[in-house]
Amino acid sequence: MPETRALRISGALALAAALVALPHVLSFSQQEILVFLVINVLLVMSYRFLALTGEWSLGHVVMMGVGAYASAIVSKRLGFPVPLAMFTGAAVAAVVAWLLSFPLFRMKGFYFLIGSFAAGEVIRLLWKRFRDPFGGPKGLKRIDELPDIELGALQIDFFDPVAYYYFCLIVVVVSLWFLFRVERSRVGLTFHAIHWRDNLAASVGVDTRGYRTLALVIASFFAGLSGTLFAHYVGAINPNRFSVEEMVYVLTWAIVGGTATFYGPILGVVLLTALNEVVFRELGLEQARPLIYGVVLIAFVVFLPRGIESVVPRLLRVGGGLSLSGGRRGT
Amino acid sequence: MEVLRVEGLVKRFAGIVAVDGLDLAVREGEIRGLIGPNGAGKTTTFNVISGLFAPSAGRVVYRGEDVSGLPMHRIAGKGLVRTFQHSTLCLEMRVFENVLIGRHLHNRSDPVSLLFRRGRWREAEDREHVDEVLRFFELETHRDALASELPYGAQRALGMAIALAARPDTILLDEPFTGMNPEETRRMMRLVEALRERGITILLVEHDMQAIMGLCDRITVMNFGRFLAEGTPAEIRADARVVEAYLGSSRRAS
Repeated sequence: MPETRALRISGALALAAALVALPHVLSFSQQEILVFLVINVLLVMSYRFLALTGEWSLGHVVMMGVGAYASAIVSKRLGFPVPLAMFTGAAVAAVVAWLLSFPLFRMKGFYFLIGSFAAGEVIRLLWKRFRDPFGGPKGLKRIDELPDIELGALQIDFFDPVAYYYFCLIVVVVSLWFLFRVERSRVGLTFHAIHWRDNLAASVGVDTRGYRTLALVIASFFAGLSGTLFAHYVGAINPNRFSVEEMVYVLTWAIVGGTATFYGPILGVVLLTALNEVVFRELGLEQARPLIYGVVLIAFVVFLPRGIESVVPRLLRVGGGLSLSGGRRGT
Repeated sequence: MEVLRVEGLVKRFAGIVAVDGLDLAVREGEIRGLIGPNGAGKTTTFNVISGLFAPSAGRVVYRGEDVSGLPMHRIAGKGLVRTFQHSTLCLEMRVFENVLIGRHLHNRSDPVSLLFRRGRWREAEDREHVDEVLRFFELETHRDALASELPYGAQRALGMAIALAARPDTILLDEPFTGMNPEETRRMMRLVEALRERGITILLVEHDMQAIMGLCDRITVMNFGRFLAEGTPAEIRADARVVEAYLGSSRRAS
């Protein structure tokens, strides 16, 4: 189908051009929001990756924090260069997730959800309790930023949100590509099988616990990576930044967007961020954000439980039938 | 030759003894029936043999190796694969994707090809094997349908197709005929027979007496978690203890 292929390529190019041009039509504060949006896209997409196996965690934002803390500490204390510190932070989040998988995957479903919440709170309490090296309740400050790049005429200062946005964009696009490829592989099929019928999967030889652990470790790696992107941009982190309130935002993005397709959670986080920053800020309702998110969450669970993605195919059929389908169908 | 042996198997659940010292030996290449009145412990026996539950006492020996208490996926890896009652399928996935799940043990692509070669893992060998299994169960016309869209009989066949895709040498069939009409039952009997012709040993739990008498080489009868009788279908039909177990004690009745 050469036409479909041409359509897809031109669509991808248009999207890429839009993403490159986007910061230049925004104000400074909107550019900063854009940086956080890209980081949040990675966070919610890593969350969806875990959800492929059917497990929903309440500790995912804490794993983001583990990446942020680890990266900040190795760059401040051990003098790691920031890019290496970022990778290390993500890897530490993956290792912590692996260790937590031993107690947590003795449970499934609702019990896993509560267990993950408890494990996350334990980690947050450790950050609060130990001033050295975590900085206690006030957290860590003056975290190194990405070093400037000077290549002759080309000078990039990552304190500039536009430059940091491009950096994050590259990291996130590569990460999403990785997540997408794994999902479309045999491993992704196995995740789906575990989600729907774990006994059936086990009966033909799938080590369901091993695969759940694999999903948790990969998801936590990318959550940690999003945390390091956050830490080295803002320059300060504290335990409350990774509280359960933030987790509820991630859940809301995922549920509002839907998790059956690859693009669902991206739709969720982009639309809700736009709603939050454009509409609520204009109306002066930012303080009511948790309240509004709560209402939005309930409204979607009741009226559109499969998320915005479930109405997209209908809209596209009306609009000419361009197939965007990223993931496997199903709820 | 003996493939599967169960020795003194006991399974207790919080005070209830579901299986109480069962002995059972299944020979290579036979179709063995496991029957008994409701609550006799047949399904529990299945769940212990296949690794869903660990036994409370006793042993399960598969091809000379003690597999008692191993998790289900490890037992499947040794060639002993089970099916489930009702339609235990990934209903939200397509028919061929369901069969692909069964290929899990036989398709281990390396991480690099997983990431870089577009859809490679679905191709060639997998496709061939999946199509062969679908043809075997006469499901090839449903290949791209969602599993939830299949008629009931075809869903049951798909459950067996997933098991066959794992290339087992012994299959445990858990009530394959339940809820089927006579036409579907006849078809399913033909399929079970064809499985045996491929050299697969079959142990099946079933309530449908017509099917079990017509299909099995030997039958083991359980009652109250214990071994009651064993023999050919004709012997079992003539066994007074079996008739009594099913119809109730004649002494008590009179």
